[in-house]
Amino acid sequence: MAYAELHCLSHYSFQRAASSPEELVNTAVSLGYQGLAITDECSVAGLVKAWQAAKGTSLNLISGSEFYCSATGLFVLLAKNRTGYAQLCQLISTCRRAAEKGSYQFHGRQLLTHDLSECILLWRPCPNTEAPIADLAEQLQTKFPHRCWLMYHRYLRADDRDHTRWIKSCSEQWNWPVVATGGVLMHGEARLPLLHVMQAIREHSTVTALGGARLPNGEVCLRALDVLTQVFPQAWRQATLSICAQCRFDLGSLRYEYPAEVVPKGFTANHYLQQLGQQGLRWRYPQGVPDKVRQQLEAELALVEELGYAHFFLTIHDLVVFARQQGILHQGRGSAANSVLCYCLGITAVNPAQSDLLFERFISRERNEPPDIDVDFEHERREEVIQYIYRKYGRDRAALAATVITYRIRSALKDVGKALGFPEARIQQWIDRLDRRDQEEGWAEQLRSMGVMNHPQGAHLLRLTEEILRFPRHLSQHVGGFVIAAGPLSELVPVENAAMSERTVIQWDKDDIEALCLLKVDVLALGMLTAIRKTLTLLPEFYHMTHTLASIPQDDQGVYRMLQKADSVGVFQIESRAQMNMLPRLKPRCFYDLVIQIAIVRPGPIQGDMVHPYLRRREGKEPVEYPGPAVQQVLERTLGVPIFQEQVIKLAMVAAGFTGGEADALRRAMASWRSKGQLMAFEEKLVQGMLTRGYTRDFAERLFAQICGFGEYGFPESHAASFANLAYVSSWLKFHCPAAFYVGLLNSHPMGFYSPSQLIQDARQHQVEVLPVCINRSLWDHQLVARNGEPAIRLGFRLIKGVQKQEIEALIKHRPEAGFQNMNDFETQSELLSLSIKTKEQLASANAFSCLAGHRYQTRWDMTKLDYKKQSDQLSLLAVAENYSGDYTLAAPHEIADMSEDFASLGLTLGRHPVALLNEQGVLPHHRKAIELPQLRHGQLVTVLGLVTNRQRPGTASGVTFMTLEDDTGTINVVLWQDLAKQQRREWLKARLLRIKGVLEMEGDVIHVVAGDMKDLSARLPVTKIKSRDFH
Amino acid sequence: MWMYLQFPTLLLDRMQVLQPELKALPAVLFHAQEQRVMQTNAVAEGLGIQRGNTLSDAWLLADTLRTFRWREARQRHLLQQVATDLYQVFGVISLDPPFGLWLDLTPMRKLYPEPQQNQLQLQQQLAPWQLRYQSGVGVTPLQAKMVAQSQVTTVADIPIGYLPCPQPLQEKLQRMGLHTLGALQAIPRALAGRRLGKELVVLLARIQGEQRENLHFFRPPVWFFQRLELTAEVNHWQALRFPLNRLLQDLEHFLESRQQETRQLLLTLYHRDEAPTELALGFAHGSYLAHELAQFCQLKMEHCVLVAPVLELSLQARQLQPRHRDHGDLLKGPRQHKKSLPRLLNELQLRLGQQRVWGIQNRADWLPEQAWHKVPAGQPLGQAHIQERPLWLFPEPRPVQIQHWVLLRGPERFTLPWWVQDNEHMCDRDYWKARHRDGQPGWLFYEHQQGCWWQHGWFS
Repeated sequence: MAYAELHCLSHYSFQRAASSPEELVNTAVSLGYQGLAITDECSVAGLVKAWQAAKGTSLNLISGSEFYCSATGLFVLLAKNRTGYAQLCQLISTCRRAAEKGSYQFHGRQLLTHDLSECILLWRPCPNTEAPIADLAEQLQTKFPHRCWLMYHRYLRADDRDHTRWIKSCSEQWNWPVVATGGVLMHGEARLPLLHVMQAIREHSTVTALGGARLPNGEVCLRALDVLTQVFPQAWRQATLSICAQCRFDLGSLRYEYPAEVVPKGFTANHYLQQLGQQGLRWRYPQGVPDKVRQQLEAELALVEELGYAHFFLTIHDLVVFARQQGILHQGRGSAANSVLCYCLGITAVNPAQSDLLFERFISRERNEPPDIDVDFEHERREEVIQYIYRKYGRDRAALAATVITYRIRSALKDVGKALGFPEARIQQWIDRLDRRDQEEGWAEQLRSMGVMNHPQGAHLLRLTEEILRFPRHLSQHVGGFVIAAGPLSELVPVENAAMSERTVIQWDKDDIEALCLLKVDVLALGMLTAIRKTLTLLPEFYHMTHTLASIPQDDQGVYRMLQKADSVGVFQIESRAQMNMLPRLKPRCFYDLVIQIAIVRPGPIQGDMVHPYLRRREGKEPVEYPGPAVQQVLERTLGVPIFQEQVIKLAMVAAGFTGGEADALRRAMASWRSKGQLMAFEEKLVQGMLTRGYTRDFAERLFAQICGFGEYGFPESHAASFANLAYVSSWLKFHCPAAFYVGLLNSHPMGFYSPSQLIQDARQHQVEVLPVCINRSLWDHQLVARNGEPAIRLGFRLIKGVQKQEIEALIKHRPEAGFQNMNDFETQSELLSLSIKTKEQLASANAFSCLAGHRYQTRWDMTKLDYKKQSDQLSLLAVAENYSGDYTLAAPHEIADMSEDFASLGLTLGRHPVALLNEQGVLPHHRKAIELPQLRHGQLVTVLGLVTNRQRPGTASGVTFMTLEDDTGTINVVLWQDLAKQQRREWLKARLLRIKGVLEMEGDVIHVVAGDMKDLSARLPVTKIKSRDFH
Repeated sequence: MWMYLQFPTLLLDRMQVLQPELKALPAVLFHAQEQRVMQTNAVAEGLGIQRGNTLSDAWLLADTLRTFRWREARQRHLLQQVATDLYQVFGVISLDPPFGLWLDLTPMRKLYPEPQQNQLQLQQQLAPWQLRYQSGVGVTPLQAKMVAQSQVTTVADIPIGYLPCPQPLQEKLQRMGLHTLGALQAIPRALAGRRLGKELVVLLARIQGEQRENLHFFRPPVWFFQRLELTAEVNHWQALRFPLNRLLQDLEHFLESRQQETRQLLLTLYHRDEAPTELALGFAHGSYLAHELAQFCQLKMEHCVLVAPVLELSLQARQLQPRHRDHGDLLKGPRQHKKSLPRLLNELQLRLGQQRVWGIQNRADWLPEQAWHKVPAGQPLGQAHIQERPLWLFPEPRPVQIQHWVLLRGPERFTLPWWVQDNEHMCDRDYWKARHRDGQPGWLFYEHQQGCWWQHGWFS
């Protein structure tokens, strides 16, 4: 007995089916099926995963899709070959593009008009329809000669007999053959409860309330062959095999073709790339090309030619040329980006001369990886690049990759809980109480301690939530991964609508694309590039120099000295509290140190306990040793301690004996960090492999812990290097041109780790003068101005809350060159421009008129008028009011009120610090100031206080919370152990002004206070609008 | 002169009186839609939970938090009850639901010339309620309200934030440095109007008393409602007779004075943890006599079982009508009226007990046990149709000897509901239409787990 399943849905038919493509394929193989068609509803989203699982097995995996039409019934189309597959994709694209995101529009008649000449059609007609299906049957038979079958499903239900009769009568009347199909929704019967839950989720109901609509039994699974013998007639089973034999399309045969327009006429792609490379050499090395660089470029070009990646580099080159023409700053990253070729093509600015360590990797010939280049563009201007892609290649040839949104613990609990009939408020309470960090791991334990098991459905809730975790929920668009094809994309993969109008996504995600060796171009947005570009444009006027990313002088020791002191507020990547903590310990002295600095404060190295060994070796406190020359080669650059993801993978090969294929599987498992289970499969092999090669168990286990850490947040060296370049450039700018740097940052907000208030505090601590918002001098953006021969920052109107950019720009345009002379002058102009009262009031409250008028209360009073047009009913009252000739004088704000107004309208104050004011009033207890701390002893008990400006609970430091307090002399770093944070939750969560008693810890330049007791002093604060930036 | 009483935690306070163990735990009432805290008890406040916090923040601050949904209607009703109590002492009351009420002190002046006397009376009336409240006195209702809310000593010191006006206007005033009512009142009114609008001028006039406040004065309800706290917990009906009679006496007095009678009583029994038990009693004709109503209640109560000890008892009579002269027997009703179905059901339930009269609802569900279920008698019945079901279904399946049967049609396979506790393992039943050797068609199933045959019903 043999059988092929021709109608089977995976969980990519969202909320309809309850098994993954892999589970379905594996089960079909173990049951001995000859073939399996994955026929997700109007989708091929699960196909690639199924194809990967079926590789190397004897199972004939068939590509297909299911379509439902309420008038005519259920259809399944199966691709016979590559052409049939393209036809199927086009039909899916048509149906998807005609409907909103997530749905599709299909009518049985569409089968008559679409070219489906290489597809097989299966049909289960609707029995109770008004539609003339006999006509349709006849037309379909003409259209699909010998390629159409009636589907017969048998589910052991009450209506089995009627259904059998109906199919038989259709078959006789229309002369269509019948084929047995399973209508499979899960791989095994045990998934039935989850399938019921999904049904309830889809119907917005509960499992019990579904009643008769609920699946009565588990017959919609892949059934054993002997069961199928009992439920299907032999002839109908036999038909599955003949159809299976006709479908011979293998996804692996898809050949991606590069867009041709990136190669000019008369050139081959390789030839053209070579030419661009040579031009680039001359451009990058005007003083003469070092031999080593020239050889490296030649080697790289040869490799690109051998592997056929020239088009890929040309496509990216085309994008960066566009960006360069438009003045959009960009930077490439990824393994292939660290190459002489990319440097010469202008894709990256990481100079190979800077660190030859980085350039040995490029593209790996051994591992069949496609080249990896992501290009970051200025975040405010990335859209221009995207629009360029659409313009250049057309919307039918370029689309974004999909991102599969999967169930996470919160969404899973919510949906499963509702389906099981838990009250929504109850589920919400449990979700709210889940620890935000531990929720992906220890959630079940936490829920048990909350008493979930007291509920009769509690055990089901936990079990089914666990089952549904990581199941796909819907497709969304990838942040910036474009797939660009030579011909219509919809012949390769269906295209559907995204939530953003005018955006389309393909049905595959980045893993699928990688698996099929299609190339995608990542067009990403990065705030720091915006800030750097804005800073660079200020340099010629104020600092008499011109720079690009690539021309910033390298190895400036002044810059490194600044970083060694953890003076890195605003700098890219190394500005967080955890990074700042590491800077004085690691003491970066060269570019490669920055690469390590960026990669070391990550879950991987921390969980693998690799940080301290590295620091000890760096300080010479521990000898640098290698277990063997093979390992030495991998770890030499990091003193024998694995830091980067690439090193860990190489180690698995040289130290644990992984084959290239196994290492590749490990890398994939790490990349799809959601499935920790996949990683666990490697543990035994890794540890055993290393033990047999003479490594210690401790080292092997730490290495595996590190792999798991990378799984959470992988950080390869190639990305760290590109980030290090931006970190260095931003540090250089901060060190040499601080005023311009802060202006660039502030004008790119919102971005980064610090609020404008914190950045401005930092600027002032670096002796940069900051001038207030002024009606006569400010622009919308913050400006760099010359003040007593020094560059200073003039705050811009963009800082004022609630003002309209358009109005302000009109006002600036009409502002007299010498500024407004008095308030009347301003009023006249604002009347002409019909400036809104709200904008004027906000300007007054921000004290923008201080150069023209009195205090801000009075100005605001004077500005405040009724909107006559809106309030015609007030005329009588106004008549009375007009008789009053005099105006009113309000009391001026005192210093604290001024500060309060500053915070309310700007979010910061240039006046005295709140702590200074409160100290003067004598309402604060005795405390040490930030500036005094370096003079104190290590281990001394101290009392400090300040505004809470940051709360951060990094994923890397379990049980530790960082807080930053700010007083009038600087910032104080506080470390808080979890126990205290739990005991004093109120203080930790809510306080805006906090007093902390604790122990001073000093380690070189690293100073922090380990909190022992906290007291919330917020009530003494006269200002309510102070906000902390919280990351927890 | 007006006094305003603000009850910031009225509903929660009341819950704590009824469930004293709540006082020892952090407890909050929350707004279901916004998921924000509305009322907090003292323990919760001690842990830093405040009104307006999100529920998730509240959970972070207190692990053992008890949360209850805030129900505005319930608080409004409570406020009415408080007012009804106060009405015994204060003649002019105006409700400001859901959080406060005004007392007009002017008419009280003759009775209680000293202001402390008002306070004393107030304390006495409110003492049994054990409510937190803030009071404030002012020459106008608005002044009294703002003083009560802000707890400042002079009207001029009232912070602008307490002004009953939209938040943007409040903010506008504060952003000009006008932080108190006094500062605002110092500005000439016409000028304030020109700058800030008519709305504010009207508000200031209301605060000053230049414009009368449009208050609705509280009248005790026209229908009867009384609630009685029992001195001790009561576990059985007999012990309720006495207090109930007291309420019925009051009702008789109420009806007598209005020359009315009632045809409906709602008797509510309040328990500590359980939802209150409500007993609706309808009569065929009206009555006002306590002993007659008591007899009827007795009849009804005899058949009921108390779900939990009773702490309080309330009696409500709403559908009042002018008194009729002659009427027949209370239970049988006037002879000439034919009994309607609902009344028949009422009487059946009265005589047999509510637990013994049910309707049968047929609903679409595959599993026979789930397809029929009991619903309260008198509910409209829906229709659901599933094919191939026998007319006669056994309450419990019976084991059969399969050799006595011939299988005719099937199988129809059901997986037993996995969410029901006693079906821990999923298990299938295959149902067959079969004929007994005696010729009757029956409905059999094969149970896969046990591996045996059962009969579940007969086809006609």
